[in-house]
Amino acid sequence: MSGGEDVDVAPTETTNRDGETPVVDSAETTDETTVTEEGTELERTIGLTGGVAIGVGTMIGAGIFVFPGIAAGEAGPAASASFALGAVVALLVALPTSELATAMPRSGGGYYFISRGLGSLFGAVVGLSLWFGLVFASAFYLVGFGFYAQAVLQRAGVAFGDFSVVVPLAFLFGAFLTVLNVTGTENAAKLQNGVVAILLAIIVGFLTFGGLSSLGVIGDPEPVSEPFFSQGGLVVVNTAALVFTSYLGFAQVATVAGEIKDPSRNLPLAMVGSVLIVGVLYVATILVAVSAFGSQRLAEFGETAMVDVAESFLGPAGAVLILVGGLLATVSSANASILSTSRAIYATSKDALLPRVASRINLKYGTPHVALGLAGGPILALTLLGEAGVEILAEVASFLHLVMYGLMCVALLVLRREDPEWYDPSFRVPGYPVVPLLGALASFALIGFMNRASQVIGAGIMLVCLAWYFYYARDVTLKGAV
Amino acid sequence: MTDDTDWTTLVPVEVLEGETVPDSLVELLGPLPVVVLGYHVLPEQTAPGQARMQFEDRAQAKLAEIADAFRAVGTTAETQLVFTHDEDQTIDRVADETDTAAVLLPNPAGDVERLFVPLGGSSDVDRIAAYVAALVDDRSIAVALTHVTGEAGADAGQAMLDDAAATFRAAGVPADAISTDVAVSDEPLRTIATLGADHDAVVMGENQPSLRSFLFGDSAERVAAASLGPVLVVRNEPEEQADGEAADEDDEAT
Repeated sequence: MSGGEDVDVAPTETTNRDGETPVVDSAETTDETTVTEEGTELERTIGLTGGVAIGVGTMIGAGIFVFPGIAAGEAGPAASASFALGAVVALLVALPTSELATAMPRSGGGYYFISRGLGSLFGAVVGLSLWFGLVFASAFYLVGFGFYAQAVLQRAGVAFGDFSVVVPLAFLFGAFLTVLNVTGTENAAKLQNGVVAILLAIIVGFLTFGGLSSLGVIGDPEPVSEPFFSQGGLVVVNTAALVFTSYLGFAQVATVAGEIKDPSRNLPLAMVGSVLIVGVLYVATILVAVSAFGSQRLAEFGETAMVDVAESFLGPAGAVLILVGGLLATVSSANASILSTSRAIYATSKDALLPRVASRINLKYGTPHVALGLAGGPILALTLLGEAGVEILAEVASFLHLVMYGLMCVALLVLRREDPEWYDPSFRVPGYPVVPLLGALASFALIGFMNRASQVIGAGIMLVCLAWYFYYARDVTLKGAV
Repeated sequence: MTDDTDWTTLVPVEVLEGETVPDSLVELLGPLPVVVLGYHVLPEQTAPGQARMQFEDRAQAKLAEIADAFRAVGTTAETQLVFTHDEDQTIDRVADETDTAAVLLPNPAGDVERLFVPLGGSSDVDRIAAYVAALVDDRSIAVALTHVTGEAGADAGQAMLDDAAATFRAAGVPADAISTDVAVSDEPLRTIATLGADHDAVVMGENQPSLRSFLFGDSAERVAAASLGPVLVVRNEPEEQADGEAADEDDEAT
């Protein structure tokens, strides 16, 4: 047993423009179910391995397979410090998120915590921004997929001349994933666990070999040495802001918090664990890659730089391994993000911040076709931004997530201060109040180091969400409605 | 072990898929309390709570209908509604939580006048006998005890069945209702299914440590599918159940 006792803080007279009210479950959490007031049970079916697989599977696509070239180009060898900084920020947020998640193990993750802790204004802005944040992230992963798919085709001897097929491939595959999620009722979760296991094996193998090689123990390539901060110190932080997209996955674990078994144990372990796993792998990958080629060569290789690095260590077999890994990783990230988007839309629609129809389930397939469409449509549109837009997609995704991360930390501080009766987390953040305070400050600060364009787009989206709240749902009350 | 057991039987029904419980099975289970488990399986794209929002009322109404049918024949019927990604985990869990003695695999059924009870070396004969006795109550339902074995085990099998028949009589099943039969076969499961098809319902013990593996593993599925009749699976004693559960703790059942 953990988490919420029955609480009846039912808000009054809280209808949106369509006259819908939030569906509030005064639910009780057990290790294996959520029991609603009416006695209906919602089974929890995702174990610890499944939770870690969601976190790692969402994150690993970007950090290892897309960013190394770009990041090395910006920050030089110190790109590894950028990834380390990102990991620290992610950890500072993952710990408070774990506390919130054990107190409120419900669908919707960050949105749910903020709407209950800080009220519906913040909730609406974050919930709707999260939708778009995930849309940007998914589009980013899909474009990453496009780069890998194109590289695979090129190596297979399919020639396109000078014409790049990255965007068409990203678009088509995005459409395919969306349709698959609407119509496919096969259980893909086991597949996801397998994919993550394969990826980890490929990456650890690559790092072992590359690490030995760059230490001069084996292999040919002469390690390249250059000053660590070759591009200066501050750019490390800018680059951290860019590559923070690689750390967005841990909060996706919280979006399925309502389906995690034994949530008080598994949620903190899955979130903190997945950040630690990918953080270590990212830093090691960059160190190895930079030592093999030097940061400028790496930057020239671009999004698929890792393929060239692996080829230098292991020959064509290495290239094939990384290409396969890149395809798997970007697909798994994109798919996990599409599913999280659908969960985010469900969570806001359930709370009457979006029309209820957005969470309708298709009778034939049992899938949320409206929400998946609301996820897939904008994602496809964004993939058209294409190659030039990769950094914008990544940064806007990070921007919108970082706002949520910062506010989650604030929500924790507020909840601890107000100490409502229903707030009874079984995991308490270590180092309170320093950790959540630092988490909030670091999240907001990182936004300041982004490109101007990303900041403008991100802020614009939040303003639109705010306007929607005042137009559609200003009377909805969510604070404390657990 | 048996005296304070109330032989509650779990009746899982995939309620929104139009599954229901045939009248004859309601009739058969009449003497025993039942828990009607309505469940709905969702693909992973869908949060269980999302389905609940849309389907709960309809599912509860159907579930109430089924429960009423049981109450109409004098049975105590509880209901439980679950939205899940994993039907095996749900049935297993609810069976544990409600201390059910047996689980029904529903299949279309006519009036049940003859029960087929396959017994193996590892069957908990005491428990199955007590369950069958409680089920048959004072009705005239024939109970066919059968042991399926290879050529060499025929004599030992008949001895085992004679002991079992005594246990069934002692448990309260009328002597004239019991028949015994040793079937010689190299493919016990297929034979059980074939013989089961000649009877109205099958009552069998849970052999594996986990109900999940038995219920939905190859064996029960083949018996239920091939005999085209209902199968009642008598669960092992609760203590043994606890072991199976601990082993399953981190099982990725999604």
